[in-house]
Amino acid sequence: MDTPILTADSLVKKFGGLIAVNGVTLSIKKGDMVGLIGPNGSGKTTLFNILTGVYKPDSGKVFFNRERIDGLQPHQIYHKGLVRAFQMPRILQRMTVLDNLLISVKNPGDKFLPALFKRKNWLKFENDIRNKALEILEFLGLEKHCYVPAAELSGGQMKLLEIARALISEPSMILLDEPTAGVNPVLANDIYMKFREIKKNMDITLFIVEHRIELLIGHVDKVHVMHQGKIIAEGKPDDVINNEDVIKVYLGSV
Amino acid sequence: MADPLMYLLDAVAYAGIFGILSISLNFEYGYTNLANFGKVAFFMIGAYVTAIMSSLKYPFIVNSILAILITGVIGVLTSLPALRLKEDFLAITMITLGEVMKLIIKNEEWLAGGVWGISGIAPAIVIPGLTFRERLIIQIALIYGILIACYFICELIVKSPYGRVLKTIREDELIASTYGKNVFKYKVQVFAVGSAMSGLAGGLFAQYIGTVNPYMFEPTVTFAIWMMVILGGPANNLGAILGAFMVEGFQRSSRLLKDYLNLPLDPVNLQVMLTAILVITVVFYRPQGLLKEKIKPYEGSLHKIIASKFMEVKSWIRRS
Repeated sequence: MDTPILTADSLVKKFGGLIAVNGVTLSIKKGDMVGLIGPNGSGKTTLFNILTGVYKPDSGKVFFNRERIDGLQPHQIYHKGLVRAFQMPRILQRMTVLDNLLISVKNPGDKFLPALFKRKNWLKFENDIRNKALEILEFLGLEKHCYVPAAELSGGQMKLLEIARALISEPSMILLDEPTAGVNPVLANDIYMKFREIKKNMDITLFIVEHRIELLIGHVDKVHVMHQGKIIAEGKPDDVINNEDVIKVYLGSV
Repeated sequence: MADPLMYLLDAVAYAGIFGILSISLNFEYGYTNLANFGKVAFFMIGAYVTAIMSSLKYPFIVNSILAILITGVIGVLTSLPALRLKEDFLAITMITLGEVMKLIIKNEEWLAGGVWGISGIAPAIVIPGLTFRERLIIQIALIYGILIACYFICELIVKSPYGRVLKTIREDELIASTYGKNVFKYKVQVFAVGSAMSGLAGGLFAQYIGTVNPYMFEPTVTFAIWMMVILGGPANNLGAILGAFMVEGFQRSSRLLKDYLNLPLDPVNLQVMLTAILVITVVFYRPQGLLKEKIKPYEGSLHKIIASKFMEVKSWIRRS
């Protein structure tokens, strides 16, 4: 189990004069749940955007399951098994909540001719996947809303939907950008319990950006701390919160 | 005006042809958010392909299949560079395409008769010994048969996982690509299907009118099709057809109106102004169009879709 699923090798990304990601090297083991913390503007989301192909890194390499993935298009990276959820929920407003979920699944009816001529094929698939989607919606307390337009959800519910969409596609790794921001504390904890369950049952690796470090403790195997585009500390959560550098830049002096 | 019924039947036939165009634009704009302002180019190419083939004495079925194929291929070829542009630039590029195509046809006389166009195009169904009115009714039956076929193809496509991907591209391209959909490929396919459908409509138009010339394919045709989609309701195929009827009816009735009303205005401008007022009113008071997009789960099988459409039309007729 010691094989790394995702490796980043000295990634650099500049926006004009700003160096958003400055030589990030990290490696995530298969089956782990790993946290990433850092103050606002430290480059966490940019790092995620590079890993999922939204941005091309200026230099550096990304390996996923020993395959090089930097420079690939986002949809190609999805098919390798790497999926992300966004920090600001990107909800498809004029579609039902259920459709918002089902879009993330690879469906035989996604192609033009099968959609038209092999209807039996995808209708059956659609039926199975719909039940699975309803299960996830039920867990997140959204089952009552499954047929309403997603624009009618509250902000917190949109956030949950964003997570649900990443969960249902069953990739080998999920990147989650602040999954519990704007979610009530009890549910936030439940979500982390669910993550642990997923990690155990489905063997999915999770990489989570989180601001509230107390949520990560007890759930994650490892934490990386980012500051000004660099990884300044990594290790077990308990060790990291006692690290002097981390206290200085992130937790503040008490 | 010899026969008012003929005028009405002619309007109905026109509305049917424009209904096909309107459905095809709805497929591109309403569902996938592709601002195709070059509809007239594909309409024209379809009409000319049919006209040229007809002058070589090929039957309509061959001509229209060829028109579909050629416009589909031209759609793909133009979309490959054009779809890399953002929405408004795509719109400008497509308007230009329409004009360029028209100028080519106009100036290359060897190709399609230049400014004189091609006349004497044989109608699709020739039954000797019929009156003009009976032939018109056969034309209408043909046009509406094809319109209904196009409607159901679009309806089946948008109510499938494929349609769900298209709507995702409309709402948020980044989400579509994050979840493994090749956005560019989908856009090219939609463009090809939309263009092919416009080509078919062009073929119907050519064999209905019996003659084509470059002056029939001004950019105003594109804008008329856009008005139909915007008035009827983007992302609603019934709405697109309704829009075609409305715009066609409105243009015809305002053309008649000017004979009966004595206004201190240029009658040609009056029609344009009235159309503008109509569009502004609808966009102001009902921005989602007359028939709204239905956001609901799929019905599943074909007969259920047909049944639910039937109920929709019935309830709509009852309400109005």
